[in-house]
This record gives sequence, structure tokens and C-alpha cells, in this order.
Amino acid sequence: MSKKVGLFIYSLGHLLVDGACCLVMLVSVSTGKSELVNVSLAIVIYNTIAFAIQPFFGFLSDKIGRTNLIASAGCILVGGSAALLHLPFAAAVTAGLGNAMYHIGGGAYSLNMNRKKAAYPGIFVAPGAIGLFLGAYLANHVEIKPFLIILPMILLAIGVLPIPHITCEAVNNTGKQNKAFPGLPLLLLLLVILLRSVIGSVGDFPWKNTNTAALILTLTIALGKACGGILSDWLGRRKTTVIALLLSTPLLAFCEAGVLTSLAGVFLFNLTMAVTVTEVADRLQGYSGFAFGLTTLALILGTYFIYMGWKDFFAQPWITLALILLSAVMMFFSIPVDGYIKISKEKSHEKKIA
Amino acid sequence: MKRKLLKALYSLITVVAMLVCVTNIASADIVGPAEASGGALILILALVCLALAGIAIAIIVTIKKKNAK
Repeated sequence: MSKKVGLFIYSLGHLLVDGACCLVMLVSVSTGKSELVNVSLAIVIYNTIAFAIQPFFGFLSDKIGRTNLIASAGCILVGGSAALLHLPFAAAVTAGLGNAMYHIGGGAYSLNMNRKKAAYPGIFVAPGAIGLFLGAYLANHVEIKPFLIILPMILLAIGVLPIPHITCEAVNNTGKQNKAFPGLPLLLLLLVILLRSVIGSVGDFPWKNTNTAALILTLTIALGKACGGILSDWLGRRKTTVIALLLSTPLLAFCEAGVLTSLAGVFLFNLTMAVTVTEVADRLQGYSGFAFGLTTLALILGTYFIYMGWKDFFAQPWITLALILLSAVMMFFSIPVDGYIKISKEKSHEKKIA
Repeated sequence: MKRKLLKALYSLITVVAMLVCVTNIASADIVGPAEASGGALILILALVCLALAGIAIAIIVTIKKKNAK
């Protein structure tokens, strides 16, 4: 199986898995013991497990390999969660674990396909937003039976099994490294992701009052994520992300009421996603799964600012403006000018000899 | 041999962790989690996330040291 076919299956699976998880969560909290269960708590638990545990599944996948098996097990768990629709908290834990495992399988695969390119992780992550939209739409408009979730998940679990595991290549960063603070660029990148999570959670678009409008917004987010990697491979990572963030600043801070302006802002803002994931992986050479998981841990930490009731503070236009500008500055300093990595021929040669 | 043992150990830990998580929460479902304060639970989960972030930082430091060699 070619690598690109593998990526296609993982990306399509990402849409299905995110859609299935969203469906399980929304259906379980509405059909479960709704008088006893705090709906938002189940969703918070699901998000926490799905995002915060990923680095550790990633570390595991880097150690044992077999990303296909991890992703397949994730699909089984997500499918299994559909059998627990009457127990929202159990469904949240099962779906969360399954989601985390699938993401690590696909994320590590997409990162390891070609360590010089940010396009592949972008293509893998992008369909997730569409899956969430479809899941939410189906939960509100269709009567869901568990087998409608279990069957696609079983098929996906079988579908990802033949995709071969790609090992992490030994890479060498050719960019200038900060010798005094070697961990600083990584920290800045993770902070950018955290801020992106906060800003992404406070976006309030008054025009998004119909399903069509919500679909257009979702497609714009997915397109931004997918195009970010492709554009950065073409124009350079630092140039693409910093310019995109600077352009998105006024659009997201002051023009959320306008359809075209806010769509443009959302598109530009999401261009940074693929680059941050790839850059984090570049700084943790040989640990792509762990690196992918770190980005989701940063995302959930950012989301907790919203869970703790800080949404109104961060939703203020000037705060949004300041945070996006801060993100642009941090991206500028964390990505080297040449912003790419070369596979170290010397290292590979040494390994072959060894 | 050592590698195989490591793989088996990791797999076992993962499976056990999953079982514990799922059964604990399932029991909680029967008991009724609504008794717990939502705000307090969110705070606990936030602290869990911070603890996980701390462990992740420790792993990063180890990887950085390993890659520097």
C-alpha cells in the first residue's frame, strides 16, 4: 500500500472517528440519565481523556511502533462506546480513549511520511472538524442506533490494519538552535497552540445561525488546516505562519460580524496548525507520536481557560488582538529562518554501519 | 527479549489502565455523579491535566538529553 493511500484512509477515518465520538457524546448525554448527569461534565471528561492522554499513547507508539494497531484499537473502543449510550460517563471515557488512540496512530503516521513536509499532518487533521460538524448535525436530526456507529468503526478498524507502520527517521535540524535555551522554541510553539485553542474557543460569529453557515465555517476551518501545511512547504514555514497570523489579527478581533471577513480570518488563523505540529515533531526527533500528542495536550490546557469561566475575558477584541499578535511573535522566534529539516545522511549512514 | 518484555509490559499497563478507568467511571454512573460539584470536578480535571503536562515535560527533558548525545 502506498503511503498516500494510507494517509487517505487515516484522514477519512479521522472524519469518521471524530464524527462518531461527537455523535456518541451528544446522543448519550441526551438519552442517558439526563436528570442526574450534568451534560457538560461528560463532555469535559471526554475532551480531557481524548486530548490529555495522547502524549502518553504517542510515547507508547514511538516505543513499540505499530501505529496501525493502535489506531485500529482506537476504532474498536469508539465503536464500543456506542454500546454505552445509556451510560454517558462510561461512553465518555471509552470514546475518549479510542479517539486518543486513533489520533496517535494517524498523527504519527502522517508526521513520519515525510519529515520535510508539513502538508501531510495538515491533511490528516483537517477532516476532523468536518466530522465534528456531521456528528453534531446527525445527533440533532437523525435517530441514532448503536450499530450505525459500531459498523463503520469496525470497518475502519479493519481498514487501517494493512497500513504499514512508518518508523521515525533520524533527522537533523539545520536551523539555528538556541544553545542557551534549547527547549525554548518548543515551549513557545506549545504556547502558540495553547493560545490558538483559547482564541478558537471564544470566536462568536453572529451570522452562524443556520446549518449552512455552520457548514461553511467548518469547511473553512478544515481548508485552512489542510492548506497551511501545503503553503508552508511551498513558501516557508515561518513566512507563511507569521504573515497569516498578522493578517488574521484584525479580522478575528474586530470583523467577526462580517461573513467574508470572519471566514478569511478563520482560514488564515488555521493555517498555522500543520506548521506547529510539524515543528514540535522536529524538535523531538524520533518521537513523532509523542510530539503529536503534546500538541493536543496544549490544546486541552487552553480549553480549560474557557471551562473555568474565562471566556468573556478572552472574547474581548483587544485581548484577542493581543493574543494573536503574541502568537505571531512567538512563531517568529520559534521557527528558524530556513525552517526545514534535512534527513541527516551522516546519522543514517552511521546507523547502517552499526 | 528485553524489547519483547517491554512491549508486553506497555500493552498490559495500557489495558489495565483502560479497564480501571472504564469500570470506575461506569460505577460512578450508577452511584450518580450529579452529587459531585461540577466546578470542583472541572478544577480536579484541570489539575490532572497540569500533572500530565508535568510528566510530559519530564519526558521532553529526557528526550532532549537523549537526542543531544
